[in-house]
Amino acid sequence: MGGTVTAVRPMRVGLALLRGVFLALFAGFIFGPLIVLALWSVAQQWFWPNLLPTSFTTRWFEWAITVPNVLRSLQNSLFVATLVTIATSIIAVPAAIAIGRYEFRGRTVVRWLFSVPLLVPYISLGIGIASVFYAARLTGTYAAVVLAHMIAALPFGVLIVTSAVEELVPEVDEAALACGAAPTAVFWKIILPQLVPALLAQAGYVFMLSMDEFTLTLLVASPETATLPVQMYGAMGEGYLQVSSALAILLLLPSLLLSAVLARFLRTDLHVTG
Amino acid sequence: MPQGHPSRRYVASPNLFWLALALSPGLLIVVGLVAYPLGLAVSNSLGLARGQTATIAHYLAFLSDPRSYWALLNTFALAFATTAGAIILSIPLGYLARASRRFATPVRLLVTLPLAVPVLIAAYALTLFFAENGLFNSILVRVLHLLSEPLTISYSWPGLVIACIWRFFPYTGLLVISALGTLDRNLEDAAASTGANPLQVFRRVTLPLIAPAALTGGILTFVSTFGTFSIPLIMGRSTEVLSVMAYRKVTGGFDWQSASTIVVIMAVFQIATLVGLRGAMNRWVVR
Repeated sequence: MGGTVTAVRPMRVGLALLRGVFLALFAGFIFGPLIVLALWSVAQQWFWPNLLPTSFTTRWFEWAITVPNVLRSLQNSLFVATLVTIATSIIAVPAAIAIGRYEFRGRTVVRWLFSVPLLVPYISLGIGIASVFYAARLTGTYAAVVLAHMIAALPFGVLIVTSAVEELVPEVDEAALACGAAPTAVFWKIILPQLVPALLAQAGYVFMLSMDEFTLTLLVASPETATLPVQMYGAMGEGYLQVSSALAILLLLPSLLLSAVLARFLRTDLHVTG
Repeated sequence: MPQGHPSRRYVASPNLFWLALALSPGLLIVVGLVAYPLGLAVSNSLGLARGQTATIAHYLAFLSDPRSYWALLNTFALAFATTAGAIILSIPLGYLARASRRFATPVRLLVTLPLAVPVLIAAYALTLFFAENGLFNSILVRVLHLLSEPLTISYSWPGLVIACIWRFFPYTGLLVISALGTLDRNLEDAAASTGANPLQVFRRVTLPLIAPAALTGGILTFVSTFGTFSIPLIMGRSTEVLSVMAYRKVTGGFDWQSASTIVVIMAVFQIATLVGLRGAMNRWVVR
């Protein structure tokens, strides 16, 4: 009896140790790259033999908000993301209500059409619109950037709101109609208020998607209309390690924050992009 | 795609005018900025843009260029290696998460985190982390003294796979972890108590039970890696994949026809993969 107990215990301890080591290694793998990025963004000096930077500075963040072309890309990003969020909401919400609520001929086809951008590789969409914009002499304009982002955002906008509309109980507004409420009053006072969480989630998701979008923007923007990710890519190409790290952190922090908030609203399969 | 609530009742279509008004702006974008450009890419790739008759010359040119079939091979190899890596990484994580409540939350958080990181930033962060003079190598060489020379990971083929795993394995990981957490452990216990060793229990009982989740997640990881542009753009200095090749055709001389040919080939392969795997899975799950 006692023999089995002492035989089992080292195995238990060994297994617990193995689990702990595996979790630590995995955490290192996931956090390591992000920690390095954060360190580079505040590093004054960081040379090979040193494990960590030898001196720190916030200069790179000051650069990021004062150097003219970087500042402009930040302004471009915010401007484009705001327009994209507004335009996508205006387009996606009525479409989602139509798809999520009403029975009509071709409903399945329409639903499927809205998810086409998710079925083909992202670069195929990019080369496709880039060649159309190039032929139409739209390349480099804000319109091109906004439209490109809307292609990427629309499927998600429609999906998020449609699933919320499908959760609504039609009996509620049928009751209101039966009690004599006007259809417009039903829409504004009953349907829309129930959709507010989904609309906010949709707007947040689309805003974040637009801020982070890189591939399509790289193909359709000019240096004047470049957004922050494109600017960051440029800084990386020129070897400005610290500046591109600072820009990456500036992009990453809002993304992480918003993701944490949205995680409560969204399913994980909505994240497939890039 | 979700097909709505199973017991969902759709209201009969009201005024068609309002319905058309609600749907047309969105459809206009999808048709005008997605379907039309893709169609144009197909016709460009077939040489129809200049009013000529259809030709497969661009496809033949693509296939006769060693550089392009290397890129095709690289793209597939990268997607398969990443998917395999994602499944192999997900299984021990699933065991860890179900071993105790203490592990479940940190594992889930760690697996979800890469999804919130923009792909371009992930690519850059991994390049810095695995650089020859990066933190990973300093820990191995200077702190742990496991190696005398730093490893070349960033910009190499393994580095590309590691970066793709980092960013795209969560699609597989989340599904495998939840499948392992919810499967009926009595089945495993029954197998073990009737004399199966742990490896047999895993191969004969656990693996078949989590395989549908692993494959569904694997498809998402595969498709994301197959189409990825930012990671090979940053990490793949010596390894060219189709997406980067198409981009370079445009930036190096506005060769829209070659770029169109490449992205059409990619789209066809991706759709074929999705349809084929879905069909295989349906047959397999039914059986």
